[in-house]
Amino acid sequence: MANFQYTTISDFVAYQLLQYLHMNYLRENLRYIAEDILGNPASNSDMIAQITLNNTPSDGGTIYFDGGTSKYLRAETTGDLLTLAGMDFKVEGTQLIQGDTHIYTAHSQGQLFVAADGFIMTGSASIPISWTMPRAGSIIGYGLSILTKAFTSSGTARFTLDKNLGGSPVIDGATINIAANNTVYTDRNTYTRGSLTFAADDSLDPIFNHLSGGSYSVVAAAMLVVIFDT
Amino acid sequence: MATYTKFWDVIVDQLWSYQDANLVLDSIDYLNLCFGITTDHNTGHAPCLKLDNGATHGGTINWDGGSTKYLRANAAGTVLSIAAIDFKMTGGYKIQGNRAILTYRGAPVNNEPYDTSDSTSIALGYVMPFPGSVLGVSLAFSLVSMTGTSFTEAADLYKNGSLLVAGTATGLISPPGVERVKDTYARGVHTFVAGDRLEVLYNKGGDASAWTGYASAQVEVILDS
Repeated sequence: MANFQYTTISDFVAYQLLQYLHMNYLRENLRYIAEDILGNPASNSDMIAQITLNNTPSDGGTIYFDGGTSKYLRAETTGDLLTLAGMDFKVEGTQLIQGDTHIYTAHSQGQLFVAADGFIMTGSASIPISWTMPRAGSIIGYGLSILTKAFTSSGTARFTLDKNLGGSPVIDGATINIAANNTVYTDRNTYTRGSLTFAADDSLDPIFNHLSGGSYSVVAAAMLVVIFDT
Repeated sequence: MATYTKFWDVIVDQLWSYQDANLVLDSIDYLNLCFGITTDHNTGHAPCLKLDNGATHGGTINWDGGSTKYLRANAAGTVLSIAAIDFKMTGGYKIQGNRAILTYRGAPVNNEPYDTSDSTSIALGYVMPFPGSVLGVSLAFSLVSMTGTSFTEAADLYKNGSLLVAGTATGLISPPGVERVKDTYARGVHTFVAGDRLEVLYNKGGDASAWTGYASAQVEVILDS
């Protein structure tokens, strides 16, 4: 503003009022940034305690990196999902991702289960081998596939997962009707994290569980998807 | 409190005040830009936070009152790194886009079998509970004995009994000996859906007419959900 020309007192008063409006605008924005976005300044810390973001209804808040809008960490409005886009995520040094997903796989290595229960890793009902969990966590999914051999009559079977070689099974899969030779049958399921838990040192024992009838043998392959809590 | 003796002093002081106010207003505008705040935005929260530090890095969020624990985009903007602090998914939540390894182990004898079925005609494989992509296939083959002059091995990847991608063959193996090979793929190229079966077929090359050996294959996958 280069050419103030106060010719009357009222002009001067108007200018003062304008300044007052500006100051109110500044105070309001500072309060908004300090309290609503950066947390309560009454904490009297030299650091920002938290940053609260929301962009209702488009998204739950976004942090953009690298000066553009294609690389971001964003809370989605649905699915309780925090999405990282445009960049890889890297954990440096000796730090860990806690709560990440792992897969365990096992198969009967060509050995055949006759129509009877058997541990999938050994192909035997009497020789158990399990996966031993190094950390506590949850099971969030499994998959089973079997290939029938030497089939002469129908029967039923399912995937079962025991914990620590005893007690009630952690998972009883869907019943599979085995009705043909040289045929692949599959089953799978997923679970919410926290519903099927295990502790560190627990063993998880994948089992081909013969339910009823039939004369056949199978080759089996199983996989388990788990999340470690720590 | 200034004491004005001349009216022009008042005007000069007002002009300075105006410049100060402009400076503060500019700073507020800058903060609004950084937080994505527009004049019509009044939800009580900032829509976003825009970070960049020019050539040094693409923006950092420091934790714990220092600068050693951070979430930082590198200068190229290709990697978001977390340093000096573990990253933890709590409650019932999980990482989507997590990588995992499927392991296979076979012992081919004079044949080229599918791993999990141990059959040369019927593929079995692991049933995937979630959709995703294959990121790599690795193979180590230990040749114990051979009749012939040359032997190589490849791990071909099958999905639901159909070839998904052929593996690169190892170099020539002389018994007893081990060769290793791997292939990697970009995410989204070789995809699978929940319920698909991923199987490895051991594919022999060379003129060997009889052989024994042990195979160890790994399939690296990334789960989309």
